[in-house]
Amino acid sequence: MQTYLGTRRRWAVVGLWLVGLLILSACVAAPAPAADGGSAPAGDGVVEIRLASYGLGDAWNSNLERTIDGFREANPNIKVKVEFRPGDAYWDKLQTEFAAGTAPDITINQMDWVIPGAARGMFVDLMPFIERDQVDLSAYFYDMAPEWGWRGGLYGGLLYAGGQALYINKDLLAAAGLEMPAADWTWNDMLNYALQLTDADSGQWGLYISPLNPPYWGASFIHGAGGSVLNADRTQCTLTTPEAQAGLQFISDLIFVHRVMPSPVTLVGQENPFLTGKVAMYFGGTWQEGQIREAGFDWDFAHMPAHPETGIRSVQMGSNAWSILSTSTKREEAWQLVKYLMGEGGQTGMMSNGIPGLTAVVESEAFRALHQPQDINVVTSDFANFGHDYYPTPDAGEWWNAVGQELSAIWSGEATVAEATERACAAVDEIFARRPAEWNR
Amino acid sequence: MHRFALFRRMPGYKRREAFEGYLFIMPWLVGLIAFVIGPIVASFYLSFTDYEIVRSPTFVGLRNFNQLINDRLFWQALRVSTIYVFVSVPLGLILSFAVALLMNQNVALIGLWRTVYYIPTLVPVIASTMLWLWIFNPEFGLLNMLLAQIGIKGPLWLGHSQWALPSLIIMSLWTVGAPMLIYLAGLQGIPTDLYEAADIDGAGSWAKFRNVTIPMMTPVIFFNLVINMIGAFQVFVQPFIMTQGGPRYATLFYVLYLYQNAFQYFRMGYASALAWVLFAIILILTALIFRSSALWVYYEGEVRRR
Repeated sequence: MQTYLGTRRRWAVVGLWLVGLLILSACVAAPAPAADGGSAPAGDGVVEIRLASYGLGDAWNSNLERTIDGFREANPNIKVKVEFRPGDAYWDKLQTEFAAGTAPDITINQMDWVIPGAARGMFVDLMPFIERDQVDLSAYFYDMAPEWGWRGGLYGGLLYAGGQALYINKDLLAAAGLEMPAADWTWNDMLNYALQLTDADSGQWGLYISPLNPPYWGASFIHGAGGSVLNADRTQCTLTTPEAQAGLQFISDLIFVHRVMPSPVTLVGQENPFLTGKVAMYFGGTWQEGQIREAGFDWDFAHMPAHPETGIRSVQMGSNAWSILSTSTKREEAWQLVKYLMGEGGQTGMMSNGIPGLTAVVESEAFRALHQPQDINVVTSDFANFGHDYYPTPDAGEWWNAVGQELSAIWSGEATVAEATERACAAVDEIFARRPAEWNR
Repeated sequence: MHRFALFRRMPGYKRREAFEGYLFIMPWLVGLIAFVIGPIVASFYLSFTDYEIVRSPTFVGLRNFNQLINDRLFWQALRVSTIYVFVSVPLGLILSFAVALLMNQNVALIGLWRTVYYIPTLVPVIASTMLWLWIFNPEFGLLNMLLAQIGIKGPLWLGHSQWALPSLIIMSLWTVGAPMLIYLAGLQGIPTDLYEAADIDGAGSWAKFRNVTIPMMTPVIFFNLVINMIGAFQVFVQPFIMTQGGPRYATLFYVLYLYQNAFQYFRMGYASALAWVLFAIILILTALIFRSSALWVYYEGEVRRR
């Protein structure tokens, strides 16, 4: 009996501990967004703010530090601590830090994080600061609102205007007796070039597109054909429209009919096949310019080709921003730094590693010289004239994944465009059906 | 008698000894409570909430568990992981046992051979995953090059929904070195007098293997089965790096889907429910294996009740 009672008591103690832990865990709560306004400086009048970024190599890291040095000199009362972190789990860590109330004041941000985070209250709306300080957004050739705007607010200050770029291997063109494509070239011209530049025996391909699935570069062909990935208010998948399907069919034909492009599924593990010198035309990202410059062959940028009938040319844009976390108690100081980074000092300082958004900096001789002998104006003018956003929504990660999963069956030859788009839209609409009503904008 | 009362009645030196004992294990205890028990209990609570990590959780009762039933990706993830467990674990156990038998032979350079088979286990999983990405490359990969040598056009492997999961199962056999080492230790622990007695009885190689080696190895097989089954249900890095669950969710492993919900879709509450369902599945399967062990696991010296 005593043993039985002892066991009961022991279990009671264990139970109490568990209940205690359960109560503690029930207290899990996201930290309340900090109050607006500036922070009280420490005794010495110096306020420290933390800026976090994923490391993009030693050159980029030191460039950022150098650029921020300019801010430090001009703002001796604001101490900036830069934290470089691994890129792989950056977003995961940022979310957990935010939940724990230990997030930095400013973070680097990207197109698939800004709106999902902003819709959940992670980031500070910069628009009141922009209006107060009369920051001239028209001075930017790149419109930030489609990508980082949410319900009238703006949740990112520009770091880079990045996105899709068309790289041409000039050595391969010269060997085939071809000139650089004209600015007004069409999909048909591109196909002709690709047919002349493909040589199956030597493993040479006319072109390659990577990453392919929408909202990446495949989307620009969908837009070119007059289609879209989502409807205008981003509440419905439109991949099943004849126009969208025609855009995807064009890519599918490049692979399976004209055989001028390898299927992405055959290049698993190969990050950038353009670097091999065996791909003549490459739809890649602007962020790949640095590694292509090291590839050891002559190359240049080309304009996006236009659809031969619609005349539409479209370029996908996905840029990097600086955002202020809503847990920051030093929003005023954080904003001063973001304003500097998206201003002339920051944009000039960082221009050696990406495309700035300020028109004056982009048009400067210093910026062009950094990219010579290639003509960076080709990319920036396409961005300015034909740029399209990535369809950012609060549930972007989920529906982007669903689209990629289903459309991958086209590239492996397992499904037709019609079958794959039907399934993709069914999956996307299922995701959208779970949305809270307030997300439909 | 209450535990603390007992503590108070201890002689001083014993009390001090006990205190020091607790003091020494305190870092581990604190770590266990803070980083293991705490998150386990928290995830149990969170599985009943709508929790987006960056917002406060809201109690929703059994809603997450109800949602699981109608979530086709939950069933797909469960299907993928179950197939993986039921194919890769037996294959791995058989292959590692076979390799262990070979490594138990008294031949020249056996130490080198054992090292060679064990080395893949030491390679960081990220590095081996990148290596296998290339091996599976349909155009330039080693596997399709070898198949081409014998006149077979290799499949798209990771790029095809029918071949992606088998590819990851094949890849799982790369690390048979770890269970092999445990088997090898077990094989070397079998008393030689049992084989000598079998020789005297006129047993051949197969009879000795079937009637001596296998029964004596059943505790080791049991151990490897449980550990590998649990490990196979928790596979994450390989599909995360190689396929992201594709193509067409063919490699959407359970833990990958859990991770996507937690950190990519802002559904930590739902992910917690997924975690507890996985825990229950593993618990039930482990219990079944333990229950079945009475029928097939032989412990030297045990007396079976009939």
